[in-house]
Amino acid sequence: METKITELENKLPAEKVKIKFTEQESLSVINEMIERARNNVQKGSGTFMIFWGYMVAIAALLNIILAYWLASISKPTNLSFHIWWIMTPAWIVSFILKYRRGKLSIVKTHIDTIISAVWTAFGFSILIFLTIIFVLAYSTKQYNYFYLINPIIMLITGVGEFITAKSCRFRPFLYGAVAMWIGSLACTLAIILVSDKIVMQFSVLAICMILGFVIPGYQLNKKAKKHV
Amino acid sequence: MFKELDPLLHSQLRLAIISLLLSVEEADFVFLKENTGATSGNLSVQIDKLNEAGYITVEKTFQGKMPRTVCKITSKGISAFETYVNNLQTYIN
Repeated sequence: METKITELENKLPAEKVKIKFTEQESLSVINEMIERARNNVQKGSGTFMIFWGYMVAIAALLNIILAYWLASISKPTNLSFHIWWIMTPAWIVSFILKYRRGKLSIVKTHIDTIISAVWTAFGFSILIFLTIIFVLAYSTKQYNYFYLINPIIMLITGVGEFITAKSCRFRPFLYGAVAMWIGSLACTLAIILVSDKIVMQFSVLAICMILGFVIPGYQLNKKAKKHV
Repeated sequence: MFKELDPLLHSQLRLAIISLLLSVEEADFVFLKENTGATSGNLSVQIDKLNEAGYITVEKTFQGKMPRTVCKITSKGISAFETYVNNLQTYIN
């Protein structure tokens, strides 16, 4: 029935159709639809942030606990850094989640493409940066270079989060980016001011991941639910 | 003189579909349905029309057992929309 009506409507000459649908109405349809597409937040968008936030925060805390434990049994505390290998399965899980989500999502916006590109570039940059630090440290036998890892990773994370915040116009990410930058500075200060640099740097990292990733991630998911 | 508005676009639902697709890279039938508030039957008829005109491409796949329709605007669709908006401006001015 409905189909027949629309078919009939389309057979009418342009002038007659115009009476039913004015130019002003036409403009408001365009505006409304563009606005809807722009403000679209999909369910579960924040899940990645929550996942990475918890993963890194847990790894940082485990690193601290391991360092204390190794010290107590008089083994080198540097061994505690091996905890970061858990990031490898985390990457794989993240890729699987991303692939599945891509298949399930009902829309792909231009902003989605930009944000995804930013975080892919972030991933590669981190890998290259870690390579640089390891090559430098082992070739010069200056292991102090490792103290650069936390502040610089947090610095680049801040950049990624800032771009994400600005492109999807979501303020909590902006606070997250600021938290990352402050954390980066705090980790740098720890190099000069604190004797137990590992504990201090990883505590800052854990706090910043919760403030900068987990909390904004939950807020984004809440916003997405409201939209649906 | 007033130019005639593209009758294919000068319909509330088809214009809504084109405006939505213009703002995104690709969109599922469900997304279009949620945002236009149209019924499935009406929406699929209008999508077919836009597809026949070459304004959009429609890809039908299966997600497990569920059919999935993904729509994307074509360059022809974009230029038709631009012409439509330009003509609309002459009407309003």
